[in-house]
Amino acid sequence: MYTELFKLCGFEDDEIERERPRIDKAFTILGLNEEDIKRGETRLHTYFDIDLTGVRKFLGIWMRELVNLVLAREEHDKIVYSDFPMELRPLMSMMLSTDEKEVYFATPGQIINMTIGQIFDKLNPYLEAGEESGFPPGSAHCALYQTRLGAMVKGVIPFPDLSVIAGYHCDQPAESEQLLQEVYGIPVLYLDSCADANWGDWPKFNDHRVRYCGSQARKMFKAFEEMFNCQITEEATKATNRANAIYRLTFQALIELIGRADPQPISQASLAHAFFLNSMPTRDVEGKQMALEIISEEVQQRIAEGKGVVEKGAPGVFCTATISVDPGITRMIENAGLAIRVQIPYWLSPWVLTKHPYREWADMIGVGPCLDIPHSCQAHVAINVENCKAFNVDGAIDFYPYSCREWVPTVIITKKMIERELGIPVLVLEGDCYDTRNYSAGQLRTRVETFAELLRANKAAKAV
Amino acid sequence: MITAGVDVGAATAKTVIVADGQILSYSIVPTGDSVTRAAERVTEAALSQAGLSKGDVQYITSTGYGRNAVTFANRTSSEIICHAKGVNSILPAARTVIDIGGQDSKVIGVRENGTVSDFVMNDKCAAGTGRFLEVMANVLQISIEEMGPTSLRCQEPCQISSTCTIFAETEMVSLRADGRTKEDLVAGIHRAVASRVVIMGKTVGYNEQVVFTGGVAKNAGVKHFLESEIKLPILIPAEPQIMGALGAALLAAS
Repeated sequence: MYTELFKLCGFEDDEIERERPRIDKAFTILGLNEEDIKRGETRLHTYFDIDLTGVRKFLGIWMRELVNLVLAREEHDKIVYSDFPMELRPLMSMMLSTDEKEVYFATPGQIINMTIGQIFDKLNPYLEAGEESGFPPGSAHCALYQTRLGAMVKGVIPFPDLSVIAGYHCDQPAESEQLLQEVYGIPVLYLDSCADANWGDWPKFNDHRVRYCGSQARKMFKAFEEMFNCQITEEATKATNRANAIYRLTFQALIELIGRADPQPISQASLAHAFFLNSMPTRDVEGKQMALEIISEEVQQRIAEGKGVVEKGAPGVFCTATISVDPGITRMIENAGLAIRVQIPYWLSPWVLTKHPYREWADMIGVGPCLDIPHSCQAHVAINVENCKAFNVDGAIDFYPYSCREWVPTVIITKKMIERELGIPVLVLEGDCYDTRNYSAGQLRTRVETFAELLRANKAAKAV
Repeated sequence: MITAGVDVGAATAKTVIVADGQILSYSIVPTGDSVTRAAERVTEAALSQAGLSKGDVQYITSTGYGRNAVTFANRTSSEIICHAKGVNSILPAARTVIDIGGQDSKVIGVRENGTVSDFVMNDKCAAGTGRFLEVMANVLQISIEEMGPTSLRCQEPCQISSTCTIFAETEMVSLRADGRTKEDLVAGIHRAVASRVVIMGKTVGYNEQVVFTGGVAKNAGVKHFLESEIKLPILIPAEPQIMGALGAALLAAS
């Protein structure tokens, strides 16, 4: 019953047949039935550029990881979980230092969001289970962690042998991992970061922040090596660095290609599965790079043919609606006649590409939060403004997750800075990256459509 | 040229018939349980008042939350754009529109030419909307129409600290049990609504002339507290509920 679905996710016939026993088992555990699969197929057609092979390949990578995740306990000896905001590099270097059969690495919250959320729109049972199991509603808990816990307590995914998390952005990872440790007995390794940036530091960062985070990374790696009786090899760190850099820079080129094209050649919703592989540790490193190269070629082809998903000449916007679980909002913005030139945090701003003097692996990890949005509120605002400038947008849409500690403080400042420095209007929308129950698409549509009319009128007035 | 604007909101549906920029007729009906039927009913009523049939109308624009369900409309437009246009047509000096309807409230910055410079709407919450007032009216056993005059007779408005309609209702019950007068309670409710909307609208800013629209604009008590919060006089059109439909009809003509 799922053959068509998996073909839409880039699977070849022989792979579907070969994997059928595993898929059957996983889908039974997940409780995915014919109705869910039909819904998934409809959503794939509705929200994604499903005629592009590259888009299908990325969807396929996440579907494979979903099956791998559900069956992880019976197929591997040990399981390591992580999730946003843990960055990929430390995870990947740990993963590549272990045997593939022995240790399975995953970011389960993200995997479930990208598949059960985006494709099947069946996330609510996991959220509710998470709410019943330690993250109650009404306390503004991050839904990513509610989803992850919910999936574990429902028995859909196994509990891990180790959880690795970082505190770059907010307190939610620490809270959720403390719960996992104290209530469910899961060992946790916590990569702490120093959030003490002064207003005015940006774009510089303090060496003490890098060293602190680096020392935490060193501690984490040592503990991991002891627990898993392995060593994080130079080969693994080099392979991680190389693969990461190539992927990220290829993605950067793709984002710039899309952002400067008119008409917008591909929906931004179609890029989510590619982007979030920047933080999901898959061993299919070649597969993800190949998918990215395919999609890049296909986008170039569309640009050459003048094909687009939004009308040529449409007002362009910078958008922060990188909603992990709902491609509908991004599509709704595009269907309102707005070309999304760039979404945060897809594009690497110039400061992120700054050369730094740190050469030891742990310190290189330590630099990570100092160069990008986690640096400070000031950095976040500055990066938002820079995105708008770089892509010469006509307006900005700041869709902020209402309970996100990292995002919320910057919303009004971002609006004021963009309006003041660039003289373009900003629409602020309150929503949630990980929980569709926390916003109403109907309410958002009114605001987005109004904003679109406003930008069209502004653009027409400028043209006169 | 005869055009029509149909504004289907959560509480009421409105149609305005316009001929060469002048209002021929208008009608307001409760939306009820069917947006499509409400749109048809209110449009038939407005047409009947004008002595016209649907065939006489050359273009129809729909707006409001139910705009996509108005099957006979030629196009749709957001209610914010329509409100700005409608207000501008009768009060060209208007630069800020405060609209408080059944389920939402908006503050709209309006340019000289009637276009929107900025806007903000309430987020997924009934507090600061007509629904909030309805709930409180029910608690106090007072009609919506009586609320305005009642609040203007207050001695000292109650302090309603809750921002949630449900919790505010509980607070009201307690205050009433404490012996606070109906006048002070209603005034407290109005002040809470005004305060919430004014804070929301600060990102847009308040510039004269400030115009108040929507069904809640008929409430003199809310107007009073809005004026004391923003410290500017507030104008109210003769029929504040139809500004969206009027703007839609004018956009249809353009």
